[in-house]
Amino acid sequence: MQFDEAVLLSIKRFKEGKMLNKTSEMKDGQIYYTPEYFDGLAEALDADLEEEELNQDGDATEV
Amino acid sequence: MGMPQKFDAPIPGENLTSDNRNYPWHRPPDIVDYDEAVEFMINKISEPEDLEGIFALMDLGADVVSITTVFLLTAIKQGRVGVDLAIQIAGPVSRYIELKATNAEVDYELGLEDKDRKPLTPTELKRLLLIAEEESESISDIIPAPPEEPVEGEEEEGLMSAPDEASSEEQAEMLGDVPEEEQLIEEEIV
Repeated sequence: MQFDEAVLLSIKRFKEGKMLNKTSEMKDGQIYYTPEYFDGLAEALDADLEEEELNQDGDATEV
Repeated sequence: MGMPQKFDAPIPGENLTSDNRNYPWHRPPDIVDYDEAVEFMINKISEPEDLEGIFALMDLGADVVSITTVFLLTAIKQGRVGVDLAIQIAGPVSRYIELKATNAEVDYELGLEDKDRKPLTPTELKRLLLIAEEESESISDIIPAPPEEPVEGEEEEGLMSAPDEASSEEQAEMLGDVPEEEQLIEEEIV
């Protein structure tokens, strides 16, 4: 397997919410950057974006 | 005098005399922990210069998978992470790039759907840059640039450009091979 193919496989698995089997073996404690962490980050960023848009709309109406 | 550089090439077996431990990827990597490696990559991607590069590549049509591969290969080359760990962190890195692009409202392709996806190699990058150059040229064709006015006294050739080859007469003159008649006239004048 080429490096590109391995990277593609790893990304696909992560997108599906899974991690490569060896990741938990490599790490002693709990894993911090899990697919769930990034789902939470995406939600937080979306919320920030919506808030910014709302603030911009509010500014526009004030003017 | 300039000698031809015919023999200025590596001696067969010369590579075996160098110390390969000088390469970063031949030494133990700096980071071996999964979370540490992801954090390092996130910090790297978050740098403004790198983000600009990522968004520019996305505009040129590079997908997230290709960009992730480039970042991981760079980290391996610099000796930050090993190959195994780079494959492990590919998922989080691509996800973070994706989130950054979404947040900046940049259009992107994931590159997961296409099975015949071409990886972003230097050749592919050159091809993409050439396309971008051609596009900018076609724009300049539509809007013609104002004609440049010739500058008086401007020489076509540069200062260091090779001179034109002298004619055979000039060459003979430079060598002191002047015809006898001319020599006689010169002597009479003196």
